[in-house]
Amino acid sequence: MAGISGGWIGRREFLKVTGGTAAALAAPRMARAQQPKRGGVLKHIGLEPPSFDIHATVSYQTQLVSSFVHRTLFKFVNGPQYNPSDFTLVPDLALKVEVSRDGRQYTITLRQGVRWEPRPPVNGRELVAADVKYSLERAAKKSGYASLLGQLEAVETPDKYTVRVHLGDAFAPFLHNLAEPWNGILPPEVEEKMGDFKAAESLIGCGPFVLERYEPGVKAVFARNPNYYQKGLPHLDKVEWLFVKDRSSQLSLFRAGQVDIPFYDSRIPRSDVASFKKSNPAYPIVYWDWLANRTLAMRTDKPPFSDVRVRRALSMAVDRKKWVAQYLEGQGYEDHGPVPAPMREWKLSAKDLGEGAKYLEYNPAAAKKLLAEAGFPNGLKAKCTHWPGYGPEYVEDLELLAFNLKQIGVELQIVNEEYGNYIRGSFLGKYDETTWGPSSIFTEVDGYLYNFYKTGQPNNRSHVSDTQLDVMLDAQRRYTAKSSRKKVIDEIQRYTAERVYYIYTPYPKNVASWTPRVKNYGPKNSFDRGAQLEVVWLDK
Amino acid sequence: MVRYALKRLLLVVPTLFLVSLFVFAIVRAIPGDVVDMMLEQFQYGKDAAELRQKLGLDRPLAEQYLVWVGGVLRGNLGQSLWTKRPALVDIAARFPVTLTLSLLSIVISLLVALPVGILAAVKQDTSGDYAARSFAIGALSIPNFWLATLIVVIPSFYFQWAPSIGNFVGFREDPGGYVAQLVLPAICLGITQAGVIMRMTRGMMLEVLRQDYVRTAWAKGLAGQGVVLRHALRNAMIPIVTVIGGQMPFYVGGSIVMEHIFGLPGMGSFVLEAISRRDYPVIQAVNLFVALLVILSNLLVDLSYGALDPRLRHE
Repeated sequence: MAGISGGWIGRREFLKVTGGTAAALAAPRMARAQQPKRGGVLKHIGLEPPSFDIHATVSYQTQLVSSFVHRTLFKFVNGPQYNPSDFTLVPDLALKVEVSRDGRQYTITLRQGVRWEPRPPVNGRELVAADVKYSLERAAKKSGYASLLGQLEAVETPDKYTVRVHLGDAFAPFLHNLAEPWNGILPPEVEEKMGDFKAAESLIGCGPFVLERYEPGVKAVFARNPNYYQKGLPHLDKVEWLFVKDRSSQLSLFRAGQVDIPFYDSRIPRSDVASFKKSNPAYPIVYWDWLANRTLAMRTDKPPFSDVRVRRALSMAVDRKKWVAQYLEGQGYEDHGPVPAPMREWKLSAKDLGEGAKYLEYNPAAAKKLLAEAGFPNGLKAKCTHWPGYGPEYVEDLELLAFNLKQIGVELQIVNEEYGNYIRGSFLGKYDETTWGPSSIFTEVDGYLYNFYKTGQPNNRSHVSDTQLDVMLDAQRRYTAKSSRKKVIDEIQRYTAERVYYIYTPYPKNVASWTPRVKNYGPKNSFDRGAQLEVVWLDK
Repeated sequence: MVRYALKRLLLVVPTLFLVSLFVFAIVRAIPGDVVDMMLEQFQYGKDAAELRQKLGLDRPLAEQYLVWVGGVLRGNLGQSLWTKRPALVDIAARFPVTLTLSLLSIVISLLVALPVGILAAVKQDTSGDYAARSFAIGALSIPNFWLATLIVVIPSFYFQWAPSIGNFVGFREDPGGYVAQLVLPAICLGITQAGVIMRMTRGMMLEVLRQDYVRTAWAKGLAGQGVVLRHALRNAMIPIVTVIGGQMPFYVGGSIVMEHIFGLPGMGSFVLEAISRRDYPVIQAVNLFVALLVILSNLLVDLSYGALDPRLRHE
């Protein structure tokens, strides 16, 4: 469970969410100290969602947009004072939660007085436990993320403000996942009246903003929700979420001050940092930790990559130190997997990896020796599928990896794929020998372990099938006490470091920038843009 | 004339039938299946067979085609597999943007190409002619997406100024602003065409200016401007009009890039999105609509010949 330190509960404890509450209150206090100004329109480059239904798609574009309007039971801390990967939970629509000793029952007490938007079909009625029950059951039934709710057996509503969730088995990431935007609480009347939540008109919620206007292909305009339960927030009058698709146009508008935030996560290209410093010296430039991995996945279920010596040789051929120092100019991580480096509370440093640590070290001589022992004294050739559309930075990464491997006689034959074929094929493990690309982003450590290594998981691109590892992967999901869970996760990291099921390439930090008038903003490794922007204000 | 127009209109039917067959087939030949995409990329459902059935994609291709054509004949171009919105609604919302952009591009290219082409012909082999021909070659050589990118990027870097992108205003909201926001993309789109039209104008004018009747007009002492504009240009216009009329697909194609760079909600960006999502009904609807447009614009061009040259009036 990544980063839920402040508000974490063990299975024998009640979560009063006191730590979280304190954190939640701290944010507005800090903002007050800086005298936030109320008003103004924030212009934000955004992405147009394929649908507005958070359960009908796993698209992050949908989560970004819905988070302005829909709220979750818990949310992550937000603001520049927090690390982008700080996933400390704070109360949102829930006030507190109580967990049973066996970790299978969660009793959630809701905040009272939260009201839906004052328009049909909800007409400003109060949000109650039945809404939460409806939303959780709908997510479990319809969402592509349903498995991230664990084995949801039943949801009860003992009273108007209490929800009791029964799980078939203890599931450590459960509370964390309730804070993800795909777990927003929805009003059932909307589905009854409109059939589903796919249309923009169905985006009716109780969050900090309301959807004022949606112009397909142009923008979505979110206005402050005057009935938002958190008084005084948001500071902004409006957020214009602009669907400008061309990257050059996005950056030009940003340079010209026509937009305040140049991408959905405020990212600017690393290669443009120097020119931004020159053209817009007042703009802040911030390097920040980004989650996700970039991996060379291999068909470990068949030769030659079923031989651990071959995989180890490939790993030892990568000069990670030089990669970070020279190519990433020091702004990145040598060891970024399986647990991404920014997940500091879970990440085991290389020195603690034991035997597996040596396979992260650059040692071409030993790599060649291993290859020879595996029956490849003259090296080998392997096809590597890839989608070049991720951008030049990713293509350069792959070329650098290929160059490293070439030094030990391994030739990666890069096969560029069309996006549709890649995302439905290689991305889901349907390739012949190797494939390279970034992973999805998960805010909970389980996403980087279970999805990558558990036998039969669609994102298990290396076709890992290891009974011992499967047992550990299931166990880390069951231990709701953080210390116990960490021990298992440590062991998983040691175990996978030795077996090298994936080659994790070094990972760059992201670079973000925003106009100087944007205050109290900090990059965040989450798609909950609504929670992130509710504390932001503009220095007009 | 009316009979000719009706005959041509009747010919539209078999043409559209062939286009519909071609579009229907070619759309399905694009690698990647929409059901796979919905399931695996966006997880729109959980069961491929169920989703295929729900979308009507489990039926034989011939049946799917007939259902679609039946809908088209009743004025229903189909609905998006993703959003469930009728394609016609989106086309109606987006087509005016592409049409305005295209018309503005044509106007800009004509405003540039006609005077320059005429002057180049009249002043043949002078420095002005060489300059005009160089301009035409330059305009033809510069890719419009490159020009558009430069227009967007360079001023932002040196002057912290950028064209208004992402603030699209509708015609009803602000007619002046609506046209103004399309001027830059129209220039980028029109400049290449200006090169084509300018070369065509110059070539045709040179040919016509050497005709006997023009020489007679000069000999009779008619004013130079009158000879060039009234007698020569009118006859030179027929091939020029043909070129302009035949460029409709170019404008729609070019608008995809311009709409992408300038953030305009037109047909181009709409169809691009539909292709990337394998949204068959939308791709089919847009293609059929554009085909109809091209056919009608060609018909208009044919009919305009009569206005330009009375000898070509259809009895």
